[in-house]
Amino acid sequence: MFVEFIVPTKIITGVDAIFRLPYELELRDVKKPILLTDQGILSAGIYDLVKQAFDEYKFDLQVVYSDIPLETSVDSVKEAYRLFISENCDAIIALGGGSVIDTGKALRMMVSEGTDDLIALSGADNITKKGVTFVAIPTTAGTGSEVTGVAVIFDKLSNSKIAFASDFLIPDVAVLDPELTVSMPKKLTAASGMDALSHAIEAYIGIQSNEISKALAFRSTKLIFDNLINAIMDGKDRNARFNMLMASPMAGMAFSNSMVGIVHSLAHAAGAVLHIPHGVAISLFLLAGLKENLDRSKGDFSELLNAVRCDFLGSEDERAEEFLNAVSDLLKEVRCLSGLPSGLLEVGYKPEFEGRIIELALTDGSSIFSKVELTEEVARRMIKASL
Amino acid sequence: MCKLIKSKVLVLKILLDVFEKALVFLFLDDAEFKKMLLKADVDCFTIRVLKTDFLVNVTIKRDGLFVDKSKSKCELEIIFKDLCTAFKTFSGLISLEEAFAQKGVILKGSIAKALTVTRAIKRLQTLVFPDIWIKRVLKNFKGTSMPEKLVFYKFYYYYLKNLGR
Ligand SMILES: [Fe+2]
Repeated sequence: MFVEFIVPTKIITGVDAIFRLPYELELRDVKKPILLTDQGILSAGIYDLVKQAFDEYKFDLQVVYSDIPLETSVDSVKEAYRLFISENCDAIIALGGGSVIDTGKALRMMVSEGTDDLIALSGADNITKKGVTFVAIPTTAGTGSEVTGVAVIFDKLSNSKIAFASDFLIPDVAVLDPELTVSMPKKLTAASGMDALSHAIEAYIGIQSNEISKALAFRSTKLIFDNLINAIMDGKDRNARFNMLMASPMAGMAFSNSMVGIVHSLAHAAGAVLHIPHGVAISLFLLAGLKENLDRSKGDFSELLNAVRCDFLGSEDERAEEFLNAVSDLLKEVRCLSGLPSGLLEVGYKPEFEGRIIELALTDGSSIFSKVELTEEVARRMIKASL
Repeated sequence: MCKLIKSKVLVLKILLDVFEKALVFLFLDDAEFKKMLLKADVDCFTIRVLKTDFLVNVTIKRDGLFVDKSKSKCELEIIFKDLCTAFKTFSGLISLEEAFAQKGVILKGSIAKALTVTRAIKRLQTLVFPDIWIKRVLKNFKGTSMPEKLVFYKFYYYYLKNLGR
């Protein structure tokens, strides 16, 4: 066993946490940050909520790049980079979901390495400098991106997603304010919640799972089971929103260090082929992927059942099965309440896509960390079970 | 395991030599290995240990695979962060996948391509190390087939014949 664990992010979470942001920037001697966001955040009024926190301060929050697409691309990172340089910015604030925060990570890499050739920086631990102050303000609860050292950027030229992994991608500060998530639609709440759950469970059962990641993943699993349904049913339930905002970075810290597994391999591949959001793809493959892990992860599933149903007695085998039943029940309820699709056929899957999805899944980095060897046969079975 | 790293350095040199020769031999002799490596679609990749002279530079062409000690830059660089992780990997105590999982490797280049190369190297480990040794390391290892065992003997015959070259 060998464990390397890093959690360098200062996490500020709670009602009105956003008002702490000016102090955090001052502390880091930030004069002129660039704020990255998307059109959805602007139109939902979330940007205005953040701006309010700066009203009485002398910070220049004028440099805003808000054209980040749902699936961020090399082109949009380069545009943000040009703006950062031309405006002489000295810090990055990413306000939004996973796509916006990943843009922030990529921008930070380019700034610290002093290059606009983003592709040349792809790989693992391929960055040599930490770079400028980077603050992440997630507006969804699920990606965990605010505390992780991974980013995925779409490259139009090669028509593929380029992955980056480095400790230097991890944001310095994460501000998690439930107020910024109350306007999140049911479907997005559901999809991002299932993403967080998959991070917690895959980090718990992977080959690099360890006592630190398990502690985080266990509590995260409990928080998600206890709060996701309430957050979907009543978006204004700030307690549920707060707990989901806690669960997300906890699962994020667990998986940033112990990584994910075959659920993510298939979800990344299907996401690229079917152009569906990451959380939706995860919700489609979660159960099939966990079932593939059942033989090798009975002990872990049995332990995780304690986070969900502590009154269930039985053998390890029975408890592991019961945990998968609990995940299945949660998925059913979430789908019923939020309108998340219940199968690949509902999101445009056709049999001719199978080959490409399998090909992409087999070259996805997540499978490295799975106890189950991701073969063509396993991938095919997972697709069939997720139709 | 790595406490006596100095004495391991010599062993690592031998292991790297076996690894280099296995790459060349299997590319010619094992169709499956060749197919897997070509699938990565890289012209050249390097495997080295950070801040040391341990380096294997692999140039892949359709008709053959060439190994040298040059420091020319490749599109894919797999760099072990420490000698110990390299030693464990080349001696088959852990797989290259595990070295990645333990964050013991720096990767410069495409993660997808590196994963394809990693799968090919896993095949190399399967063929070059005895079953009893490698079964602890590889997930879902079901043992080698008769033709694969033959490759194992052919390789070591080839290796011993070319010793010192
Ligand atoms: Fe995810």
